[in-house]
This record gives sequence, C-alpha cells and structure tokens, in this order.
Amino acid sequence: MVELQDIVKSYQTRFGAYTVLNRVSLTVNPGDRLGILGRNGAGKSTLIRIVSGQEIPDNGTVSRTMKVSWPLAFSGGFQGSLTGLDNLRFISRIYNVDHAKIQDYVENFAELGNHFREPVRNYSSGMQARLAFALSLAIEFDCYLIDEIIAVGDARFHRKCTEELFERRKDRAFFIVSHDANFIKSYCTKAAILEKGHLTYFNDVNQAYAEYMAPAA
Amino acid sequence: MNRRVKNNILFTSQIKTQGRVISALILREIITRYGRHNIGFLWLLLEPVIFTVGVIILWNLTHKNHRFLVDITPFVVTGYSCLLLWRTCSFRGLKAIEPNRSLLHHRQVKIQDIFVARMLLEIAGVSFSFFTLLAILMFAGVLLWPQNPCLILFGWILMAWFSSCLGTILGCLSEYSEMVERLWHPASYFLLSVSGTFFMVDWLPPKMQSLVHWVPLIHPVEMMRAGYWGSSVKTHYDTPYMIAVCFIFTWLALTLMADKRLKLLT
Repeated sequence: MVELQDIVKSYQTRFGAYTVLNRVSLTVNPGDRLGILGRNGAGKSTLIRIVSGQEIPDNGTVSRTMKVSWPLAFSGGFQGSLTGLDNLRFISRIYNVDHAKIQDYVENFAELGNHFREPVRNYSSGMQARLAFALSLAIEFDCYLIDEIIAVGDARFHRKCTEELFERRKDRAFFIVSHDANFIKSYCTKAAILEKGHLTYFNDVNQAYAEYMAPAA
Repeated sequence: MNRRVKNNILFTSQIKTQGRVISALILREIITRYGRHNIGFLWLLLEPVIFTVGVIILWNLTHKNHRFLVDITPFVVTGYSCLLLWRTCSFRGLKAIEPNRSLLHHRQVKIQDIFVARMLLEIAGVSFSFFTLLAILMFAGVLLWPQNPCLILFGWILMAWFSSCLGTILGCLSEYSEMVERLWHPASYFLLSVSGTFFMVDWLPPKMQSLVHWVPLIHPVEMMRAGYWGSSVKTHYDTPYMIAVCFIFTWLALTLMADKRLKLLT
C-alpha cells in the first residue's frame, strides 16, 4: 500500500511561496489503478515525485509498504552521458538486481538495437521511454508510477507496453498522472482531479471524465 | 514496541541500500570520467603522480643552485599531495549534483550519496597515488623512512576529512549561486599561497606565523612534514584546532546537504 496523508508542498518563487499541493491525501492499494487528471502545471508531477519518494513534502506523511517504481516519464531516471547498457547496470545495482539476468530482456523489449550502447543523451524521448519501460518491467515493481508517458512510441510499441503492464501485470498497482482524460478513462479504475492544490475524488472514472472534460467544452 | 523493531530493520536495510547506491555512483563516475578506453580509471591514480613527479623535477632543477632550508623532494611531495587533495575535492564538489540530477529520480539516490561517492573517489585516487609515490621514492632511495609514519598518515586523514567537507560545502553552495564557482577559482588561488605548499611555517616571521595558524590547510601539511623529518625540522601544527575545524565543517556539510531544496535547484 502507498498512503499519503495531508501532503503540503510549496515552492519558493520570486513572488513568494507557491503552494502546489494543499493537504492532499490518497491511498493506492495493491491492484488499484488510480488516475490523477490535471491540467498543465496542476502539480501532477510534483505529486508523483512525492509518491515515489523523490521529493519530500513540507508537511504530511508518506508510507510505502510495497515496491514502488521511479516515475516513468519522458525524461529522468537516466544519466545522459552513460550508455543505455551502463544505465541498466546502474539501475540494477541500486535496485539490487543482477544486471546480467535482465540485460537480454531489456535489450529485446526496448528495441534500441545498437543505440543500446550509445549515450542516453542521444536518445529521442521515445527511445528513453522504451528503455524506462523495459527496465521497470525487468526489475518488477508492485506499484508502477507513470507520468504521461504511455502515449509515447508507435502504435505497436504502445500495444506491447499496455499488454505487458495492464494485462500481464494486472495484479499490480498503477498510479498514473495525465492530462489525457481518455487515457485515464480507458486504463484506470479510480480517478481524481487535481486542481488548485486539491484532489477531488469521484465515485467512478466516467464521472471524473465528464467533470474534467466539461469546462473545456 | 513493534514500531521500534520495524525501524531497526529499516535502518540496517537502509545502510545496505546506501552502500549499494554509493558504489553504483562511484562506478558510474569512473565510467563517465575515464571511459573504458586505454587505461581507463588508472588515470585517476596516474594524474596526481604525473603532476607531483613533474613538480619534484622542476623544483629540484630550479633550486639546484640555492641552498634550500630542507630537502626539496619530501617538502614537495608532502606539500603538493595535500594541495592536490583539497584542490581536486573542492573542484569536483562544485556543481556535483547537476550531472547526477536525473539519477535523483530513484528514491534510493540521495544528495548525500552523490557527494560521498565523489569525495571517496577523489580521496581514493589521490591517496593511492600519494602512498605509491612515497613507496617508490623510498625504494629508489630518494626519500628516507619517515621518523613517524603514523603522523604522516594522521595528517593525511585530517587533510582528506577536511577536503571532503570543503568540497561538499562548496558543492551545495554552488547550487544556490553561480557566484560560488566563480569566486572559488580566485579564492583557491589565494589559498594556495597560504596553504603551506610553498613554505614551512617556521620560515615566516612570528607575526605571519600567528596569522597562518588560522588557515586549516596548514596544519595537516606541517603534521606530515613533522612525521617525515621528526624533530630535526621545526614544525608548527595544532591538532585540536584542526580536528575542531573538521567537526565544524562536517556539521556544515551535513546541514547543507539536508536542504531538500537542493533536489530542485538548477
């Protein structure tokens, strides 16, 4: 389980403190698929970084009793001057996994070809995303944190990812933040909208979808 | 009670995780800096050796005709090795977080690990080359067996301790302001002149002696020279003062690293 209680997070700006999250609470149980909808700048990425433990909130408590992935996003998680393979080794070391055992899987899944042995900074965002997915599937987490990333890659890779994640690993928990209501609607079982620092829960995903789409229409 | 037991387990597993993270960071640092080409990470050890040997030769040539107050080679070896230690640690500390920032996406990786890994690597490199150089020079008969090897080692440890804290402090501060990096270049150049690399405290007039006493860098260098020559050369060092400075710097480094804003600053 991952539990956030009364999380407050603010950043210093030139115009004083700006509160991104104001007493946000949420729970992700094993098997949950929680989607957070929010517009650009609503604090989705901040929230996911707090869930992952990358950032420490100003106030409130975070408890993690399952193995939580790092936030899979368009960038981040890799060191640019290292090759894909060296990044794999690094990540295997910090997550305590034998890198030799997962190397083939990652290489095949990410479909990077020779680029696997090129520095990650030369990768396109799609290639980085593929590597991130391949690695997180190889290491196996109880809870996957996904930041917008799914739509990346071509249709075939997209299908492969959704199959690996949402079908083969349907027992796992997913915490997804996105501005794309259709995506949240099709893959999540619970949804909430993050707006002005507050999280509003909905009884079902369709209701969240309707609410989120309404002001735009 | 349950809570306490849980915390204990967490603590030991945390130590193991931090150990894994630090070694992974060291390996990544070695690969990015030295690559896998030719002699690779051996450069880490060779760089300081080449530098010190070059300076030894230069000094021996330029001071050939002067009557120098002490043997040149041990004077240069102790002085330049210490210089290298605090110079490399401080310069490697500056902006240390930036290239590792994307690795902070993994919750296991902490700001502290980045600095510990960097400083350990620098210290290991310079130390290995210093002691190898000492051994080679002693074997070659250029240096004698030191009067008090323990004092040399102790001085070196204090120097490493001080340098790693200095590098960490500068590294954290450089995240707040570009100024730190820009100012450290001239400041370190100035410090060079009072670091004890080019003189022994005893050669200075008494007034200057009491002034340079405040420069922490002086004490380990003098200590190591005392370790080499023993009582035949007059040295000035203040061990309690140096240890106190190290503790203060450690506290400062730990406090600065704990600032959670460091993870966000760019």
